[in-house]
Amino acid sequence: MAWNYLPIKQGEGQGVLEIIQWRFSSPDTAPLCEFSLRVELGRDSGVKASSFAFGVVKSVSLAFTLPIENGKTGEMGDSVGFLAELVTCICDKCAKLRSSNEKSGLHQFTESKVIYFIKPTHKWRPVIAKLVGKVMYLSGLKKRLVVVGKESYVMLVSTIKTKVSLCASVASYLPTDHSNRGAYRGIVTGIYLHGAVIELDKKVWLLIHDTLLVPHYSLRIGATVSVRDFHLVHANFAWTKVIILGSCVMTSLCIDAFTVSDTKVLVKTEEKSALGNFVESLNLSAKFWVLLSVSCFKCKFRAVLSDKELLGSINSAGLVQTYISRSLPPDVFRPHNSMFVAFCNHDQCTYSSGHDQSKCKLIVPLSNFVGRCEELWISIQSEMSESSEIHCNNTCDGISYPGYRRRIIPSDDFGCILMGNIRACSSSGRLQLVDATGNIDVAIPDLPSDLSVQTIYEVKDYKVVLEGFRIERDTSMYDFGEPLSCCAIFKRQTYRKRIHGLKLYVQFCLKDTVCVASPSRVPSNLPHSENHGANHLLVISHKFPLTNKFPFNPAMSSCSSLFAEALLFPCKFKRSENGQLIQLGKFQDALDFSRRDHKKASEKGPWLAPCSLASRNRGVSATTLSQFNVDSSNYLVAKSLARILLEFKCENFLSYQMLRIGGYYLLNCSEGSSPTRVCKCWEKGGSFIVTENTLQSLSLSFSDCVNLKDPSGSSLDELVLLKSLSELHEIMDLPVDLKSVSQGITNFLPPIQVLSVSSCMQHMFHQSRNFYGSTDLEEQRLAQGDLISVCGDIEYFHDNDCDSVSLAASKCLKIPNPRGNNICIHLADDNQMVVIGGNLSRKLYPVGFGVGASATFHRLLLTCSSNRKEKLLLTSVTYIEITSVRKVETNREPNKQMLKVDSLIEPLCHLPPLRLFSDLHNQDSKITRFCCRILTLNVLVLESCTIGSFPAYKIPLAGFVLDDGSALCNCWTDDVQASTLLSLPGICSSFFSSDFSSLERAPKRLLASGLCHCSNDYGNNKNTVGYYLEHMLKKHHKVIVKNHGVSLDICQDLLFHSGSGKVFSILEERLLNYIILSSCHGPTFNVTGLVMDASAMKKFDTYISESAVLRGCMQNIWIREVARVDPLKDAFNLILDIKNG
Amino acid sequence: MATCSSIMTYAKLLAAELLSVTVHPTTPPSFSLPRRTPSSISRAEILGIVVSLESKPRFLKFLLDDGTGCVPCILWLNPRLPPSDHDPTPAILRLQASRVRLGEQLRVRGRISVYRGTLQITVRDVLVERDPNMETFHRLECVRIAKRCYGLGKDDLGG
Repeated sequence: MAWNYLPIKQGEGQGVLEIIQWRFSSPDTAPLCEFSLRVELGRDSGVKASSFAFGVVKSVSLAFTLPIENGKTGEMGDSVGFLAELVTCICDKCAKLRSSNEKSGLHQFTESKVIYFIKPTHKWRPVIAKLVGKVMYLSGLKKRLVVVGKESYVMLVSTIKTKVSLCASVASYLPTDHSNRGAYRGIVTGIYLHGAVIELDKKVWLLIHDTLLVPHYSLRIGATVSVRDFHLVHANFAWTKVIILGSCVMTSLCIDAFTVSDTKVLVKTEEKSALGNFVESLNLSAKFWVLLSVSCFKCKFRAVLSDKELLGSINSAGLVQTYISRSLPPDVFRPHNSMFVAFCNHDQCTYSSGHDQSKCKLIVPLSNFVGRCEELWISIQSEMSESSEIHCNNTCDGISYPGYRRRIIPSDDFGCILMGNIRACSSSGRLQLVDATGNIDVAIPDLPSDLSVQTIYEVKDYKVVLEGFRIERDTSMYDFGEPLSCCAIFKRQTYRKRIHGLKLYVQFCLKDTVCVASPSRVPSNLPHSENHGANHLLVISHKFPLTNKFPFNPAMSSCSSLFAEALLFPCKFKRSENGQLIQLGKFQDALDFSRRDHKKASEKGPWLAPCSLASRNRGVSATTLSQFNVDSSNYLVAKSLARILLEFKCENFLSYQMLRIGGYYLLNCSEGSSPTRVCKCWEKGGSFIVTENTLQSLSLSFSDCVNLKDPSGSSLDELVLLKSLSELHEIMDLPVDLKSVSQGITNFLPPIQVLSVSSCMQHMFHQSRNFYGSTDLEEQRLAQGDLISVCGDIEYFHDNDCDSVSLAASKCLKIPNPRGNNICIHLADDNQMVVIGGNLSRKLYPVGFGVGASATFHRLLLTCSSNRKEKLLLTSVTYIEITSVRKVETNREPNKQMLKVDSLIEPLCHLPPLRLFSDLHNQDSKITRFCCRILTLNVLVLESCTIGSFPAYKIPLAGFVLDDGSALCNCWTDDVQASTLLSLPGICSSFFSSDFSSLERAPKRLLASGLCHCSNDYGNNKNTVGYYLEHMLKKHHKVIVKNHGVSLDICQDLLFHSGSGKVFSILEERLLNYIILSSCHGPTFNVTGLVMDASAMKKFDTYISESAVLRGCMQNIWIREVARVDPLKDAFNLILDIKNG
Repeated sequence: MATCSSIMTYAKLLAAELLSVTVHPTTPPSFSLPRRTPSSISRAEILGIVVSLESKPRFLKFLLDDGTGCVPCILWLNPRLPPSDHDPTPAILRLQASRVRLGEQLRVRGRISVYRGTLQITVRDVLVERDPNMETFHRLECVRIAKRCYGLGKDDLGG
């Protein structure tokens, strides 16, 4: 005999002796029965025990207690014992044997017999278990009919005369076992859940049905064990495949080799809880899945739920059992039999998997899920590298940037269920799904206002988006160690996000989720009964992004907050006490009334307009309280809307996330309960700190047709991250149909206009004439320009550290986050593309921000950079809304419809081919296109005009001599085309940085010349060409510039005519000279126009100078469109043209 | 076919073409392209990279390389004395001069002249071309114009 000493408690000297080797005292060399067991006491009693058994011990059950009733006496009592299965020989010779000494020769053991060892022989179990597979002779048995329930079994039962003899020398022949019992020998590599699950050789899983089966102290990691008589199941779960060895009543487990490398005892015997009994009622694969799920639940929610809440107690079911019993199909349950019945009927019972295991999905810990996603991302990168894919880098200003990829992966590919709380991250403000192991960003298109941070949601149907720039590093250096393997789950390994360049988020609809556990305090999603104040109706006009410091109010910078700007309607809603529903149509009266008769209202006091609000769940009646701030002209429109700043503290970032720009909400205000009292919300510049449940979404539909797109329209190529407001109609707290009063409501609203990229470019172009932003950002203290909203697809984005404009802008705008990156975003629609620059921290990128995202940029600054280009800048108040994303492959084809940067023409494929001026004589088509540059000016006419109430100017006629390298041509045009050819938007910077530096130094001269006015409506925008042209034209009304020079090389003899007859000042002449000279040195343009005949030229007679007449041999063209040249596309056209002769 | 205005135009030329023009000893000298169709030119537009730069108070001299040859260019910073109001202002001239930097891709227009027996361009204006595709586009334009206006044949194209 040999043993190990196992210390149980360190330092206390307690421990156990582990017998690692023992054998029977009789030597194995004895001829027949080397060893025997017998009960010493009661040998002389008169019990009849004439039965015997001779065979091979096949299996031994655990010792168990059975309530027993003596059939003869009727006495009740508990019987402790165990069962052993013996395969006996049925030959005639053996049937007559009466002594173990007579056994010899060859036997065929075929008939199975069950022997019930009852007290006091039950203590033999360890020995009998050790003798499994050996031939034994048992005598002193008696045959009994044992009745268990409705079943009866004839078996041999031990008596006090029972004697067991080992027949080592008997040759045996065991027939092939066709049952699904097996034997396995392997090394223990993991023991989990107190010994309920044992991993062998890192590849098979042994499920222990009763921890009494295993030797508690000896079963340690590293030990070699032999398992016999288990059920083998190949389980194909949704996310993995495992081999399960299921133990049963017949299973025996022996330690073949003990380990000394680990003395930690991991097996514990615990009292069976309700969950334990539930697990035992399942088939093997389901049982394994449930045990995995228990492990997942424990590591996911250990921080928020106690063990009792999770696992339940002896009598009550916990969260895990409730969830699992709801999730499992009924066919996984199997009848629960006592050990006696199970042993006797073992071969009849089936342990097949029983149900479709692919429905069993992993309730994945989020950190493991993130690990799996990163693993997937690396494999995607590797696959693309191996497939020798052409890496299509993107270029911007000639600089190449790495390719970008986005993959959308459906939940079925993962085979996992996501579960956790939904919250908004306090540092980034982003929506996240959270559990104790980690978090993952989420995008919920149908985010309601009643989301509770305490509710645990189950998300089965989702899509995972992986996106980022191509990884340049060697991907083989990443080793994730199979985050979704059963071993990782049982070990509760947590993973840390390792690939920083990967953007990972999950999209799902809340309507597809299931609430697994609600907080004890059920949130009210209805108008709050506890709120006694009135409700303001408001519309969100802007949401401010998260910044560390809010630039407008230093007092607010101490804590991290989010802000939204809202407009308050001049009416309030209050729930009536009687709960009657009143028609909503009267709301119109309130609005009309307010406009018509303000005096009448003020005489009668507050005016009540009843209306009804149909709640999602139950009808809620409401009353509008009129509370109008009508000005003297009785105008309620727009002017009476109070602007309010909503502040969201960290704990209410979720409320911020559910707000939508342009959405209507009811804001509960305790101060406004009195109909006559004006609450603070109405004060100008007021702010309101939003707490939980103070905001309710309100769906105001202005038409019968509510656009309800199916959100399932999301595909793997395109994914909706944000539904439109009209699509959210059904999830709003209070859907209200206001189609009858749409005019009234909309009159209140200032336009929240979102421009498309094409419209934005038109806007930029028109704005550049009348108003142009900052001229030189590096010298200006504040960038100037309009704030506009633009939507489009992000074609590409990249860091732009050397962009002086962005740097200057960030400097001028005092963008608060100094660690933000200068970024360059290419925003495009079907035809056009604009570049947005500015400063944006990577940490504050909204979910989905990347190439191929459909985005709306709210409050971009439209300004001008020093390199003569219109520029859109991100500011600290710019809010980016991502509505959808699409799959992006690195080797994608560039959008062929895309026309780069600031061209204002249709796609080139729709345009006529390029021609030469020298070919005009042979031209048959009237509309022609040329690539040409201005050589000189013939005539320029400028006139003053007004746009609305603002002064402006227009160009009724401009004539140029254009040169395309083959010949010269007189070209005539007006308005926008003339402005483009004159490069008015672009010339301001150089002019003001040079000549007008003298203006700064000579304010008196400027004032005297009328070029500069100190008091004007333009504020800081006076340093623009548009401004000075307007003021010049205010004086002269009309200016005509004619070129009387003969030479085409320079504009020598320019003559200026004033419409008012006034004399031009030197600076005015210098400005006009500068505009014209700059245009003569301008870039190549793409010009589309019509050939003019002599009759058409007659109307220009008054403007044409003598010198122009001298150049009459040239052709004349009326220009219809002007754009910058796209050299790449035009080069293709030219190649075709040259090839075709 | 050349028109009456073609002599006034800034012919788009490659450096090799420009450097191979025939100089006629007139006053001032006149130039013609050695084509099947005799073509007189006086002005040219070329596009290339600045490979050499010499800055003097009165002028800026630089070499423009377009891959087919190097063309000497001169930009006068004070072309006429006394200056007229309608001349390019010193600011414009300074702006033009500031664009001429080594390695920059420029589009230059100017009159063809001869200085000490060497052809050069007296620069009228300078434009920076940031898009590298402009070089290809310019070459193709040169080929097309040469083919259409100066009688460039298939044999020449093959070269």
